[in-house]
Amino acid sequence: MAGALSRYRIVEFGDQPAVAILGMLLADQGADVVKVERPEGDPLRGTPVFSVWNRGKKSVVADPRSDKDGRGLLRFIRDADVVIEGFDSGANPYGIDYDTARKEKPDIIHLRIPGLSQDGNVTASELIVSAATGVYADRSADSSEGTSFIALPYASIFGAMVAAPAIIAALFHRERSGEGQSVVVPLYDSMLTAMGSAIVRRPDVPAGPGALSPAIARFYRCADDRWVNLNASYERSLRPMLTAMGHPDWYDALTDERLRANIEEREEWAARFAEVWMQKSAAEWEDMMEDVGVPLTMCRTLREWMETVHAWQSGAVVEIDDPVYGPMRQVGIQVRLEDTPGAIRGSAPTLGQRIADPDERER
Amino acid sequence: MPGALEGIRVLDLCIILAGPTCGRTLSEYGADVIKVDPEHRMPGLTPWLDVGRGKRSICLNITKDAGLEAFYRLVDTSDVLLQGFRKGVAERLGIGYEQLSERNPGIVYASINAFGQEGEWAMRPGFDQNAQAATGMQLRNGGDGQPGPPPYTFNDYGTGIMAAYGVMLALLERERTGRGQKIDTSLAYTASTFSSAYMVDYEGYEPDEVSGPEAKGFDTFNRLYRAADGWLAISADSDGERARLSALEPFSTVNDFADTSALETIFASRSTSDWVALLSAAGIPATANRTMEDVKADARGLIVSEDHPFFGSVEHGIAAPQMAETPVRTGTSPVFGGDTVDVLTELGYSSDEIEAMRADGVIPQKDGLPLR
Repeated sequence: MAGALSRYRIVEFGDQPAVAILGMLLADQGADVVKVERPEGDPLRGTPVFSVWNRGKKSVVADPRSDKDGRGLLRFIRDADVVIEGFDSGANPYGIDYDTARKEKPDIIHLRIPGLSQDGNVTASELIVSAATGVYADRSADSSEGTSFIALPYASIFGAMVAAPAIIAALFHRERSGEGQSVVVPLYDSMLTAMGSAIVRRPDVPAGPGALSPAIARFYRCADDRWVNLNASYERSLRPMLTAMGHPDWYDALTDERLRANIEEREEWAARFAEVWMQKSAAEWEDMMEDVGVPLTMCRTLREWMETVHAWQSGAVVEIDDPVYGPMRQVGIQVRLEDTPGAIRGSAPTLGQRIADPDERER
Repeated sequence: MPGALEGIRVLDLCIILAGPTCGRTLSEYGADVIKVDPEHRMPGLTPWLDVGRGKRSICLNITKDAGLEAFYRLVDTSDVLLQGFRKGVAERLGIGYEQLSERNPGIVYASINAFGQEGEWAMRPGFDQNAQAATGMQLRNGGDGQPGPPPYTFNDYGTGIMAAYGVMLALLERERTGRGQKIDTSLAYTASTFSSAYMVDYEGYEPDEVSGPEAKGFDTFNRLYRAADGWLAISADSDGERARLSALEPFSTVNDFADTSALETIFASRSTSDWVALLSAAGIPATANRTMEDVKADARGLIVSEDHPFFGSVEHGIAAPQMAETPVRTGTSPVFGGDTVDVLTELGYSSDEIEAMRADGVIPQKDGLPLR
């Protein structure tokens, strides 16, 4: 069955990863997504990630210096429901903003995801937004490790995620009222949502890390030198875990209220736990704890995750035919709707699979 | 102005962060979100102040007949149900999709858990950390040593927001068909989306992800450098930006821009603010490498205070999207169980019936319980 967005057309502008990822989230749910590219093509063309983030879209080439191409784009906007772009205010190279789009299509939804909340003289990329929002900050307790770069584009993907429901809310409003609107979701602002409870300030609790339970969010090394992550501080996990470890007698001490505030004693318990985990391999512990319903997971590499039976069975990883790379494994559909499941509509488009010629439209 | 989801009622049965983030997001867009908890399942106060916002809170014991009956009456008046149970648990409680859609065919029913509803790990319990562990999110930060979590709680919040995306898609579809449907998303799917740039494989693929605590960037032009007084980030991605950087006076002695060490020496000679000013004036994207504390100190309205009934003033973030016609709202956090009587009264329960429910342990003895 068709996806929930199969009646909608989206036009996407911009080289920013956040725009491409947002377009992918919409295309996977059935939207007809038209990607506008400069004649030289999106800068990610030629890299595998282009084939992931642009799957199921059409490509239209338009030269910002060509009036004819500009007029062609306006025709596309006339047929569109939503325009998404990643530029600062007024920086769209085709000169298309909410007001110009609205002239073509009075109920258009125009969504902009700039990097920063304030317009600057340079476009803020993933790396700049991440650095400005503390993604690479030193997280060691004594600031000894220095800064660490992280290659996953967390800010762009999180920003695309925050923008996705904003588009659907605007479509929902349009269905009920007939009215379009302008929506702005800066990547920087979305990052504060990701900080979440870490920026909550309460007058009754001093800032700084609290005492961490030996059984929650802890990493332990196992007999085969592999790591596990353990989250079992709840009663329904703690008892079966201690029993499976052979130490049911530890329960009372670990649930003693006084342990909450005693960092030193918690670390002593963590050391006791660490000895036990060294008795078996990480995979053995994971199997054993699964049998008793305890959330303990072996730390895997991304490659190992892709090869798990579960990643395939659950559709977290799928295989599609890509014209450049052949059979290609990539991420599956993030949200699954049972009756309108959406689908990966095809591989990423070759450059200008569609052209911005007004006479050559499909719809 | 009302929000886009004005008139939509949501029942939120979720705990911890991901699930409650879905309910909070729907509330930001204007939905009436009722958080339903058993009295003994008290959340921590700090996450409650973050993901409890904009909701009403009731305590109801649905393992008792009268509690389940009240819950069914709530379902009859609702549009959306959010649950975070492992596969099969909701059905055992009598609140699975089949059971509820029979009463209310319009109900949109979202499941948000660790590993999803399909596949051999569907029965595995798990927190965000477990989904991170399974998908490579922690090993990549550890290098040769102990694994590390991602810098922020991206995956929990991202999962809740993606669930809200799914709920809204189903509501949009329902406008046309009148029917609700079931939605499945999980922490492991979100972790896969975050990993999507490197989660690829094909004949001849060579993994090239830069990772580990020593990583400083992709290349000379896109990386972190140590300045005289701290770290800065530059991102000269385009040919024009690279040319402008190479032409700047301090770099006139550099022969080979692929040689990071030459640039490291130059960047170490001036302060972060000097560099950011110089590079920005030349049109080269650069910023001081900041911490979360820096962001908080310079929040420009993105962090607000709220008067809390037990604590006085607390601070938290706001909803990011700026919507011109249907503005989002940030909301304040409710007292745990503080709306139980109001919501039951709205459903038509008399005060005698409510007191009888109290006597039977269907609702708590006390309305409104302090969290810690």
